[in-house]
Parts: sequence; structure tokens; C-alpha cells
Amino acid sequence: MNNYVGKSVARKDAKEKVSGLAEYAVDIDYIPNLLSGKFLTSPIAHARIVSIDTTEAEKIPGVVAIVTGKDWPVKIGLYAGDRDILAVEKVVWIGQPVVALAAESEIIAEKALSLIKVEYQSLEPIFDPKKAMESKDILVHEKMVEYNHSPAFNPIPGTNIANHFKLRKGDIEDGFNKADEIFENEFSMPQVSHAYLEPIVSIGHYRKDGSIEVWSSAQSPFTVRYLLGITFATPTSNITVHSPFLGGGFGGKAGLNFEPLAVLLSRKARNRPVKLMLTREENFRSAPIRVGMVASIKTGVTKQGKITAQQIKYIWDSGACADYAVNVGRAAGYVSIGPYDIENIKSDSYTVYTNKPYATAFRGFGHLELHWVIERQNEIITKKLGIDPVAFRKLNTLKPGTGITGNQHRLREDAGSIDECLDKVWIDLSPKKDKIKSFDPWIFRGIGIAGFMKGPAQPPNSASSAYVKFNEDGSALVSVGTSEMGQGTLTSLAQIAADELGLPFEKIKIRGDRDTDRDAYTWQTVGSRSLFMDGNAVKNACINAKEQIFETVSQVLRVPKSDLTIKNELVFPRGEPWKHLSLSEVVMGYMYPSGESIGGPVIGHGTYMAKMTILDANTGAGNPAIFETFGAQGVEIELNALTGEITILKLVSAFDIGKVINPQLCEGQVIGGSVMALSIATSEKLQYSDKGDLLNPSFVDYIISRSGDIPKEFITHFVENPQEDGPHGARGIGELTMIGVPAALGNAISDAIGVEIFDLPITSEKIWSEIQKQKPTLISNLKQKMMEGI
Amino acid sequence: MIKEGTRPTKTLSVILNGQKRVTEIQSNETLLDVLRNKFQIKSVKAACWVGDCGICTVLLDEKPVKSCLVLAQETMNCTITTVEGITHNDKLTELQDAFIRHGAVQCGYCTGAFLILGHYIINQQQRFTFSEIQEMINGIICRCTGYLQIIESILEVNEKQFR
Amino acid sequence: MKNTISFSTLPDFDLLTPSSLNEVLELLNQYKEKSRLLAGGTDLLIELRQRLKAPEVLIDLKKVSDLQTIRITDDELIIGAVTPIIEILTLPVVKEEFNALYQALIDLADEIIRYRATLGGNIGTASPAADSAAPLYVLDAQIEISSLSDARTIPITQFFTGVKSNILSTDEVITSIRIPRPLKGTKSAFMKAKRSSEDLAIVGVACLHNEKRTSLAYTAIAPTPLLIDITDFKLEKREDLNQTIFERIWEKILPNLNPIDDVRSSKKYRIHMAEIITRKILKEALE
Repeated sequence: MNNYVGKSVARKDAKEKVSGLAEYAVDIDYIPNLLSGKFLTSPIAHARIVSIDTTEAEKIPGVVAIVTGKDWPVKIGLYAGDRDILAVEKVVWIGQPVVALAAESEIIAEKALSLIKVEYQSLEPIFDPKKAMESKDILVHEKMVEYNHSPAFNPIPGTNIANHFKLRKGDIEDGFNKADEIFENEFSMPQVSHAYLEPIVSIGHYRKDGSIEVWSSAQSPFTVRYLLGITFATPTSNITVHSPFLGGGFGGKAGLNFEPLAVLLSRKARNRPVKLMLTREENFRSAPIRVGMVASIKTGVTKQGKITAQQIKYIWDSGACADYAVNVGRAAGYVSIGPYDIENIKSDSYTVYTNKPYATAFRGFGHLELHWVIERQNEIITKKLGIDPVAFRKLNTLKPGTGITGNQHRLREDAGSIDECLDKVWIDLSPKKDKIKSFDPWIFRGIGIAGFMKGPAQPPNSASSAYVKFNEDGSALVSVGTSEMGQGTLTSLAQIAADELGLPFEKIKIRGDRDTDRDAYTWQTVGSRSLFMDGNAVKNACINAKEQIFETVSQVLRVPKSDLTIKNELVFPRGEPWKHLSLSEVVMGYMYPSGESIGGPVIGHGTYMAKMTILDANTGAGNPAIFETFGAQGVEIELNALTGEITILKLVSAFDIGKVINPQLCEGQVIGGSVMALSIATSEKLQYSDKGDLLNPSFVDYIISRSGDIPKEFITHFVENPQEDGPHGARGIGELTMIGVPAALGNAISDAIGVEIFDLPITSEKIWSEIQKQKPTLISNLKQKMMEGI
Repeated sequence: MIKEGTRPTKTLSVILNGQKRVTEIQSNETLLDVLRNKFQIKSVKAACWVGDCGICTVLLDEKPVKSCLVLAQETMNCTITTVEGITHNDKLTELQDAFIRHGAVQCGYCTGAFLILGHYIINQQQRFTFSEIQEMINGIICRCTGYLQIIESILEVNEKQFR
Repeated sequence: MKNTISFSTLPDFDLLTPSSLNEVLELLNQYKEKSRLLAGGTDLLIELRQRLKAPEVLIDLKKVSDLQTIRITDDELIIGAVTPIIEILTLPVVKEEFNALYQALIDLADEIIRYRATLGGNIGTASPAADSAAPLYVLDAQIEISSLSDARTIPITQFFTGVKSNILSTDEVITSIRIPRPLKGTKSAFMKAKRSSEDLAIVGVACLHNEKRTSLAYTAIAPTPLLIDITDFKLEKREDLNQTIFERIWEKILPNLNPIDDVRSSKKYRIHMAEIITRKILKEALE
């Protein structure tokens, strides 16, 4: 019975946050003897380090330690060890940390940094991912083959290709032969910034006894701990990682970032703790970003609209390191044809090194990009064939039981329905379409829709765990490994626990900060995996706790355990509520009137293991994910053809998430995620000079959406086809909220004025320049009309 | 963290959240630095340090300012209000309560800034429209919520004043 | 090669807080180029943080009440250089008679910044994209400047000398901006193109139209703001402005435009937007 699941209970951390009490890594300044860390970055995109002279900096009073790459030349990274803590032999992007120091104050650190002399010998850089993929002579990592790679990845020696993922099915040529029409296009998306508001902060303390303590704005404290152990060749048990509340993460704080540098500085600073806090500019230049993408796609389709063949090449611009982004290429590789059932597939997904800032995870993880390609291509096809966009999609979408992502793994019968999502969105968009006419002839209206799918991209042995620890008064603490970065999963987990344990929601405590020594393990807080994985672990922990409670109560009440139930903090045999014990009487052990006691303090534990397989290296076949969430999004826009400016009138979303655990939190994800996606779709782009220097490392030049930029109306639908093995049937949603927006917008522009956009972002200038290219007379005609005063 | 430079210090006296507070400062410290580092006012966050993001917004003599763009010395004898000053003993303001009910809080990093600006807007005793509030809060960035629930929270409390 | 450092601190300086204009002038005379004037600080503090400037002293103008008065006489609107933008906006006459200025100031940065930013600061920084410059150009504003030894009043069109440079010598300060009250029936307006709801201008255009004169002014499209008089085209009513006439007007304007390519916009789009806004603003002025 659900008292809380399905209801919009307030966030567990809401009060802390509105009272200004929530603590973030940036707020931690109370550790005794804390030093300020700061690093000097490379001003050249590709160069050999000739010499580093720190003599003058060392003379500055208050400088405690200076480190260079040679102090700890260990390569770090999640799936590929390709990143120096500080550049060792050469620098590979502008912004790469080269020398770091720890000082008594920030101003001393800054002064000392300005006195360090680094001599470089320039090497030819490579910035264009297409060229980087072909290049054999300009290599970002000549020694790539020597790096440690996780076995799921396939780097190609002697190239800039950090990973090549292949998806194969049927016979591609045969598929094209069966087609009536063939469509070939190229699409792209630039690198973008997470622009989480809390900059990266890492405090490292390498203690005199060799133990390591870290406080970091890290999404995945357990991964940080594990990789720190490898980096510093010490047992995991020697390391504690604290991750307090995060001021947003969106994937950008998912891997291992500046923690090793903070620890290294502390080690050199005679074991004093060191705090590294990035400025916004440093965050833009030195911290990881989102991959860029170029894609070429060739689609064969019959007159009736059945897709017979899909051939795609994705090139992922990972910048100078790909330790996390190899998995973006892999995940986008196995979903590369989108939510469609296609007989003949040939898809290649390459993660490629260039001399630009390095990429990591970012909400949507390759899927926002690939659906930009697939769903724009589908729009172009439907227009040419004259088929209704939703009818065309439904003719081709995956249905339960069909082969998921083309790789011959059967989609579960309870996987959810993209068709229902498409219908719900289309109904809200299409009826009004023709009714409204604008006053001005240069204002055009259009609607666009996109369908999509995504599951968590995680290793097959990804695990979650939880424990539930009861207190004297019958209240309970739930511990999980998932970090709180705004998404609100912890609240949903507490709802699940409250219902499972029959406790009031207020009597469940779940802390917002993570501590790897205290908390139950989870792999990472990424990929919209937490509710499903940790949710199951919490449920199992509650069942285990109840088992312990029932054991005691069955002895006391002399009834079989299987007859017992908990409701309103009372334990009783089903149907006989008068025959009860209160939880507080049991959870610390039950004492008979005689004083004799049984049972003991209750701690329930639970785990959940992902059920997936390793994908076949040659075809991509296998089970890639624990679930796929399906969805559709659409927009209705007004476009000013004279200026290229667009207004989003309406944004409609539908997701089949199995079960809505907390409607308000889900809706919050949808609104927040779709505004973020609109921001990315309409304005965001990291722009570089021809030397690879980032030109817009600030919020004044890198525009992100503000309150004045949001759509006039949001409509959100949740479809609830439950998945049997999800907690209460639920699937994840966090990332899904972004994925359809760019393509839906591109499709709406096409609908409005018949101009096709292939490259993100769709700025006003971009629309204007495409109108000029594709409709050369439109603007001059409209200018004339403007003066005629029509 | 220590921010100050090498010039002689001066004594800064302000009324911070209703209490007189005194500290030694240097000329190059901003109001943001002093609030966070000297007065331990941690609800005031920073994300850009150059006035773009608005996360460091506080009320200075009852008017909103981005505290990274104000020198601490300029605030001598001024009154300063932050979220710490509007919350006492578990008693939330109507606006804080509205933020919770509307789901206007996600990561929470910008929440203090929006709350204090919202507090200012409500104290105007003037009725505002949705789009006016949208414009008034345009100086603060939120990357999580999509702003809608923040606008709705402020609007709700503002409308209640005129019921 | 100089090390590029992203600073989290401000450099050392002394803050001086004069309480009268005379004290300001004395301090300026004493420190000259070693000093910087602090008005709203919304530009200066950023430049200091980025170490673009390294003054020994900052002279805070905000305690000088003479610089913060705003008044309207029979002939003119006089705005003290350090009056916060938000206060200028609250004066009804600004919207009624100086609409171009009102529209520029209501869209200058964001509302929180407008509590601190000042008109003197916006002009004094001499950014080619200074929103207030275009309306002040068409409204014939005069800039009052003082130094210890002298005082002078110059038309705003002479104030800007290049990108981020102005006519002020190191011992001078802008004390006020004087704007003559326009003729009855004058229409003025300002519009800017930007990438999102809050952005620096890609281009800004102001227009003034009355029975005697029609002028346009542009920002962010040349190293300094531009004033272009189009009275010769004898635009009196809506029908006077057609495609042919506009093309001739644009022929006159276009050679003066010299925008840059940057992260915000290409040259071409800036010029295109300048043209579209010019069409729109003229049309509306003649309605």
C-alpha cells in the first residue's frame, strides 16, 4: 500500500536549502591548516614542455608546495588512463594544468603562479574531429596503446581514435536495394559546457599516516575513491571521499577530475590539506565539457515509409582526453539508430582526440546528439514522402519483443511504449496548428516532434546497495551511495522506504551528503540509473530490515513471520491490528516484562546488480541496459524570418517512466531539463580561435537560458507502463527530459518556413543565414512587405 | 580562505541580518568575500565573480546587489540582508514555503539569491505580473529548474498580498 | 610569454571616499593616471579582477551627493553622473519625453545591475556597445566635465574617441549628462538586437523624429557610436517611407558601419540586424 509513492511530497533537502544551511564543497573552509591551491595552465594547444622554472615562485613567502607533472607521472581516467594530473611531457589543450602550487592564501598563490616560467616547443595541433580521425602524423596521444583501457573499448593504435564501436545487423546493401528513396545528410553539434553553477572544488588531504581524505564536488564519490587508490597505489580502505551537496553536476562532475591534483599538492605540502577551487574561466578551460559531434547518415526507405536500411557514422570530438567520453561513443553507438526497428544496419561510432578541452559525461550522454541526427533525418524523409510525421515514426518504432537497438536483443515485453508518447505529444501540438495566423507576414508558425529512448550507460557489473538503520524511537536512517545534485532522487528513495517500512515520511532520514566510509556503495550517480538501481537496493534493504523485525515479533506474538505486516509504525498479524507491537518496542531489541531481551538493533541491507551483458565487439549485439525509457517531445514556435529570432510558444513532453514516484520532482526534471536543452539548442557553443583558444569562457559570452528565455507554456505527460523489475515499476527520467528538444525545434523550423537546419546551435543568426542560403528571395520580399506596411 | 592583500586593514562595521557585526578587512575584499569568509554567511554563493550569474545577490540597504561587484569598504555602516536573516528557528517565510511547495529548489546553489531577490520583490508591496517577475529575476542564473517554479512561487506570494 | 591566470582575487589598491566634488577633483589632480574612478563598479571591478587595470587608488564617487542628483528644468534634463540607472527610470518625464533613453536604460544589463550601474559609468567606460550612447546621441546630450582647474561641456558626439577610450584626461570626471527637452511632438525610440533575454547588444539603434529633424544613432557597429542625420529625406508621415526611400537612406548609412566579427555575431548579421531595426524603428517613429 502506497502512502507516499506516487505523491508530490516535498524534497527531503528543501528546508535545508531554502534556509541557506545546505553545505557544498565550496563552503568547507573549517579544516585546520587549509591551504589554497591554484594551477597554471597551458597557453598552447599542442606543445612539448621544454622546461619549467619555479625558482622565483618558491621565493614568495607563503608558498608551501609546488608540483609539476614529473612529481607524479601517473595517467588517470575512468575507462581509459589517458590524462596527466599535470602535463608531463607535452601539453594537449589550452587550459591544461601544467604546474600547481599550494599557498597560505589565494593572492599569494596567484602572485607565485605569475612568476613561474614554462618553456614550450610548439607542435602542430589538430582541432577538426574529421581531420583528427584521418590523421596519422598529428597524434594527440602517441602512446595511446600503452594506456590502460577497460576491455569494453577498442582504441585504434597509431590514430587519434580512442574508441571505435560497431553496430551491425542484416545486409546494408540489400537494405538500400529494397528502398525506394535514399536520403543522405550530415549533422553536427559543437562542444558545450555543463555550466553547473557551483564550480569544481576539491580538497585533498594526504595525511602523515598515508591515508587520504578528500572533500569534492564529485557526482561519483565511490569512483573517485577507487581511482584515487589506483593513482596513489594505496588500498581503497585507506581513502575517504566526502561529497557534500552538489551545485549541479549534469555529468560534468561524474568522473575523476581535480581530486588527484589536490591530494598531490597536499602530499607535497607536508601533509597540509589543500583546497582547489576553480574560477568560472578555469572551469570553462580546464574542467571537462560535453563532446562535440559530426555525423553522416544514409537512410533507405520505401514509398510507404518503412525504413529498410540505416547507415551512420558518428565522430565524437572528445578533445584532448577521452577517459569518460569513450563510453559516450559506445552508448551512442549501440543506440545509434534511435528507437526504431530496422532490418539492415551499419553504424560506426568513433570517439576521437583533438587538441581542445576534454569531454566527459553530460546529461543525455550522446543521445541528445544522436537523436538530433535521427529525428531531423526522419523529418526530412517524412516531408519528402508526404507522410504524417507520427504515422511514419510509428511504422518504424520499436515495439516490445522487437530487437532492441538493432542488436538482436529482444526488448522486454514491459519496456514501455514510445508510440503512446508520440501520440500524446502530437495531440497537444497539431490541432491548433492551422488556426492561428500572425499579423505580420514575416512571422511564421511551426510545430515539430521528436521521439527518443535512453537507458543508463553503465558497465554490466554496475551495482547499488543500501542500508536501513533503525533508531530508538522507531525512526530510520536510509543510506545509499547516490549523490544529491539537484535531481531529487534521495527524496524518491525515502518515499519508497517509508512505504515499504510503514513509516511516516518524516521518520525517514536520508542525508544529502555522501561519505564513502559511512554510506552504502553505489557505482556512480549518472545515466538516470539511481532511482532504478538504488531504488531496488533500498527496497531490498527495507525487506531485509522487516525480516529482522518480524523475526522478533513472531517470537513475541507467537505468530508465523509470514503473517506479519507493518502499518502506522505498528507490527501485527494481518487482519488483527489490535494484536500489535510498536516499532519502537522492537527495533532495538524486544524486552519481555521479566527483562529478558531478544532480537537487537535492526540494520537492514539490500543490493541490486545490473542485469546486462557485454556487447559483441563486431556487431554490438547484447543487452546494453537495465531499462530504456521512451519519450517524445514537441515544440510550437513562432519564427521571425527577418531576424531569425524564434519564440517557443509551447513545449510538450511525454515519457513512459513506468511509475511516477513523485510527480512534482518528475515535472521539475522535465521543465529544468527541457529549458537546459533549449538553451543548448538555441545558443550554446564553445567557440575557439584558430589556435584552439576558447573565446567565450564566461556567462556573458557563453549564453545560457535565463528566466526571460523560457517557453510560454509547458505541457507534460507521464505514461505509466510499469517495468516489472523497476521499483514500483519505475524507470529513470532525469536525462530523458533533454533529448528530444533540439530535433523537435529543428523540425518546427522546417515546418514553419521549409528551411532545414543541420548544425547546432540554432541561433537567430544561424536561421537567418540558412534562410538566405535556402530561400534567397524570402528576406528581400519580406523587407519590401515591411515597408509597404502590410 | 584568506583573500586579503597587503595593505593595512580597516575596520568594517555593518548591520548584518539585524545584528551589528565588525571585522577587519582590506581594500581589495569584496562584499562577497567578507560575507562568506569573515562572517560565515554561506547562503551567499558565487559562480562567476564578475556579475554575470547573480548567485551572490544580497540586499544592501534593502536593495539588491551582486555582492561580487561591491567592495566591502563601500558597505561601511550599511545594512545587509541574506537568507540567514529571514529564517529563524525553523520558521520559514511564506516565500520559502512557496519555493518548497512549488518545487522551485533543485540543487539549491542559486536558491539563496532567488529567495533574497524574491523577498525584495515582495517587500515592494506592489502587484507584479508573471512577465514582470520574469524580467526582475533575469539577472540570476539557474541551471536546474527552468525558472518556471521560481517565478510561480514569487508570483503566488505577491498575489496573496493583494487578496 | 606572460602567464595567463584566472584571478579569484582583486589586486591591491586603496579606496578613497571623497564626500564632495571638490575633494574628488583634488584627488584626481593628485593621483591622475594612478587612479580610477569608481561609480557603480559593474565594469571596473571586472576589469580589476582580470588585471586589465592596476590603479593605486580607486576614488569612490558614490558618497558625493552632487553627482547623484537628477532634475528637470524648463529646458533640460540633468542627470548626475553617478545616479543609478534604476533611479533615472523611475522619473516619469524620462519615459514621457526621452523615450529612447528610457528604452535603452530599461534593457541595460539586468535589473539587479541597474541598481548599481550609473549613466556616467556606462558612458565613461566608452564601450562601443554602451546602450545609453545611442539615445544620448540622438537626444543631443551634453557631457559636463570637471577638473580642478577647469570645467567644460561637450556634445556627447565628441566624447568617444575609440574602443574603450574617451576624451577625458586623467584629472577629469564626468559630473552630469544634460539633455535638452525635445520639441513637442518628438518621438524617440531605442531597440537592440541580442542573442537572448540578457546579453550585450549585437547592435543598438536609436531614432529621434520631429518636425525639424530625423536622426539615427548606432552602437556596437563601429569603434565608437555613430550619429547619422537623415532629415534631408524629408520623412514626415508613414507614407513617406517606402522601399525605394529606405534603400536610399540605407545607402547613406551603410558606409559608416564598421562592425567586428566576434563570438556574439558576425559582421554580416550585425549589419543585417542594424538594417532591420532601422526599418522598424523608422516605421514606428512615423506611425
